[in-house]
Amino acid sequence: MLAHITAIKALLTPVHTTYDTAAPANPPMPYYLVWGPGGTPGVEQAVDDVRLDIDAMVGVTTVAANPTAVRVAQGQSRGILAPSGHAVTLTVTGRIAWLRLFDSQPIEVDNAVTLPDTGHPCYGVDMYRLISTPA
Amino acid sequence: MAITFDSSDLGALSADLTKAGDEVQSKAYGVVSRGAVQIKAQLRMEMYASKYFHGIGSSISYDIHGGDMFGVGVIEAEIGPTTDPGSAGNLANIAYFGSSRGGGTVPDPVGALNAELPRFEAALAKIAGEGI
Repeated sequence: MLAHITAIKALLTPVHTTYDTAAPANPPMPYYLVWGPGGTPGVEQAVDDVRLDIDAMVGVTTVAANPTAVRVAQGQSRGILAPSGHAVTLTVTGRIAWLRLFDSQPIEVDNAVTLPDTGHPCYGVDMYRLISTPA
Repeated sequence: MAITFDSSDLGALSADLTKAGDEVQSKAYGVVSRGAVQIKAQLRMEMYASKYFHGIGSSISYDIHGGDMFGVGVIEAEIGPTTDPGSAGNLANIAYFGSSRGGGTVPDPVGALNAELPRFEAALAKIAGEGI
């Protein structure tokens, strides 16, 4: 699963700083968080009972100083991870893996965090479905 | 909090059930109820397993709604944390989808939906076959 998260980070990092699961203290905005399970097994049962497929939900959280900035950065991430609404293939050695935009949560204000000068950050979560199988 | 899941196969089946009689619709109510119980159980189990959000588990419940919508009989289940003012369930969104500082730590509810979907479809197909 780490290789898949790394592949997603590699796609997003040229646009904005991208972290795995958690942000450090005082990160530059906007930024992305890529997070998900350790590797949910696929639902299809293999005839040899060896389960190497991954069928997992991966979250991409977009964080920015205000809702408009979140929408702009979210649009950029979707342009890469879901271009024109299509699934994308991830470059993961030894795997055939693709990602499809599945769901999106409303943009919210994080009142638990206060930024210097700009108030509370805002964030929006896009959920992607990751399907991966050995090449 | 809104969750979507792939129910494309259910669409065709639902269309068939609307042509069925009251007896089939009554059985369908039972299938929806049973599915809701199973999904609620899994959602609770996943929330109870959380180090930080286990207190939300007991707020997860379900409601069954029924009635006519645009002249078609509808039975639907709404499953999830109760989000009344002061309820621990208000934290569920952070449990599932995280915050600006970190991602969600409790499995996406869609997993519980997808786990139940094959049994739900099979049960609906069975009663549809009996009633049509």
